[in-house]
Amino acid sequence: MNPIAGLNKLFDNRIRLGVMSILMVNEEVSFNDLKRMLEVTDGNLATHLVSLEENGYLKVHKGFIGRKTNTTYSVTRNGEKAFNDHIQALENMIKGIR
Amino acid sequence: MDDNLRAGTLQDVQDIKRLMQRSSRFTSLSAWSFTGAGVVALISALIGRYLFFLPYYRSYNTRGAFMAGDFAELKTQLLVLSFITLVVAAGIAALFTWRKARRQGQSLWEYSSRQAAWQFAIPMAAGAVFLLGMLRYNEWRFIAPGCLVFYGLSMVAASRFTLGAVRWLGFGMILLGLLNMFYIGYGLYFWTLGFGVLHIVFGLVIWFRYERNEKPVVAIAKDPL
Repeated sequence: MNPIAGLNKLFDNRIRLGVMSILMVNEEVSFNDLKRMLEVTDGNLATHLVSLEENGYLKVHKGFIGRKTNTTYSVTRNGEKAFNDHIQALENMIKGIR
Repeated sequence: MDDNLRAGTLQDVQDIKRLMQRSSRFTSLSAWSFTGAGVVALISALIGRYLFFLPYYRSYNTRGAFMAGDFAELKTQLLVLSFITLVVAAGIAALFTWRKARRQGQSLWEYSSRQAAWQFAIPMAAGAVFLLGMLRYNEWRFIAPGCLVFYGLSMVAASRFTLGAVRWLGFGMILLGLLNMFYIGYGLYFWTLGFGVLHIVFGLVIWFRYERNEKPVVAIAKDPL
């Protein structure tokens, strides 16, 4: 059996994996908070958020605080399932190694 | 299986765990914040007792009659003292936590610390308005137990976003406040026990458990993975 079967291609990337990890344990997190927690640049984070959104893993809420835009992200049910499957695959791999 | 894949997988799992913990709990809360606040409370209790309470009762006893003016003065003194205590204790607590956060490369304004502050602020604000409302009707007997109970509730609420053990400190405060309800008039003793002794003991306990060897401070009840 292929040891990396079940691993999600989209989560190969550290930043995308990080975004999902944070959103799994927090209801809604803003762009700026994600940026600070992951220590990445605006452009870099935005690209990865778009790809997660296009795959239906993220929900985007655009809001305002005063006049400044405040974009927040939360995980969709699909995203949750994809992440859990990925974790399961990681777990299987680690078990397989032992 | 090749070693690269294995190392990558473990790295992934560690990253996930670290981000889940760091994003959902503010881990830079310093043990000295609690001990410091407790010491301030103890000093303030001593000042309250020996500078304000005892002279008031001494003059009461020598005169042998109640003086409304004296009593009003005592209340003002105690109100001012407790306000100063609150500000100094909160300042000291913030200072120690700020230092620890800086050392760990976190800021006081993390997502998790804001969540914790929010959760803490809700019962505190409700309690403050509630107790001030009582004072307005000259009802001062339940101030001490009320402070303990609302403060304890705030800690329990905030513990979800910081050190889990804070919950136990909150339970302790609530318990003392409720006990105080049945011993009205001994408020100062319960205050001293709660805001002074309990803070100090809790600070020392978490220092011994988590900070002495500078191990990770996170005490997550259940492994998120």
